[in-house]
Amino acid sequence: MEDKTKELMELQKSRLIIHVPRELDDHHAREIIQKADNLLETHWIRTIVFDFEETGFMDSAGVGMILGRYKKMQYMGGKVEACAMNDRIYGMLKLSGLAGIITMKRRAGR
Amino acid sequence: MTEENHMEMTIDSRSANERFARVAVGAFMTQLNPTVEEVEDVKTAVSEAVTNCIIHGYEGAVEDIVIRCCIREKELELWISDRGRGIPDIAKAMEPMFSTKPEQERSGMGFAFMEAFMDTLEVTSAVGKGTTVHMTKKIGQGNAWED
Repeated sequence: MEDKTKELMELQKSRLIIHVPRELDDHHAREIIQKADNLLETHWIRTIVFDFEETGFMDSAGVGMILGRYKKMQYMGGKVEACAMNDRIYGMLKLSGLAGIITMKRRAGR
Repeated sequence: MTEENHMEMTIDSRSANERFARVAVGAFMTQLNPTVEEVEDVKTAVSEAVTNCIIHGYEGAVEDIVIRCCIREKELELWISDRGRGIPDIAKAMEPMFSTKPEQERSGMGFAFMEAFMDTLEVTSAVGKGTTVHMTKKIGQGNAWED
């Protein structure tokens, strides 16, 4: 079968799209944070998009990861978006108060 | 399923074991015939508790985390313990958005998620001795036709 796993980090001009893996816990978040921050230091990035299309599981480490990137982007004058979350992850981000500070779009058809 | 069943496991406090811990508890609870949502709730709570042991209890050192799990009637009971540094102010630690390590990408939502996804949550801790998180959840609550 063809491997449909997308690259974790995708750069589109000044947009950094992070394709969040199937499961996002503290262990996975550490790797994403390190890679994203490397790119933030070496590229002109205005928007970070967290794409949750593939993601089924997330815990509070995901909230910390987004919050940390939000703080960095705020400092640099950029913004953060999260898209394609399932209902559960959308609910967790709302419960954490992220809905008021980042742009959130739920998974289509859910 | 009326019999009592029990399991206990000890894992190293390595972040790579977070997934193993939640999947193991998720597999153990399948005998209660839970909904997908109920399994996800428990897996999230286990992930939060184990992460707390790794990040806060042992602060990165590799020590033992003990996970004990008991099934009685339709209730799942969980204890997740470390013998790490302990929590000086439990009430403060449980406040949503509070974290002692905000600089390290911590959201301060760990206990809030455990509370949201389980029926009960109890934290006991002694500074220098360790912390135990005790949680319960009734399974099958969503199936109204089963009463």
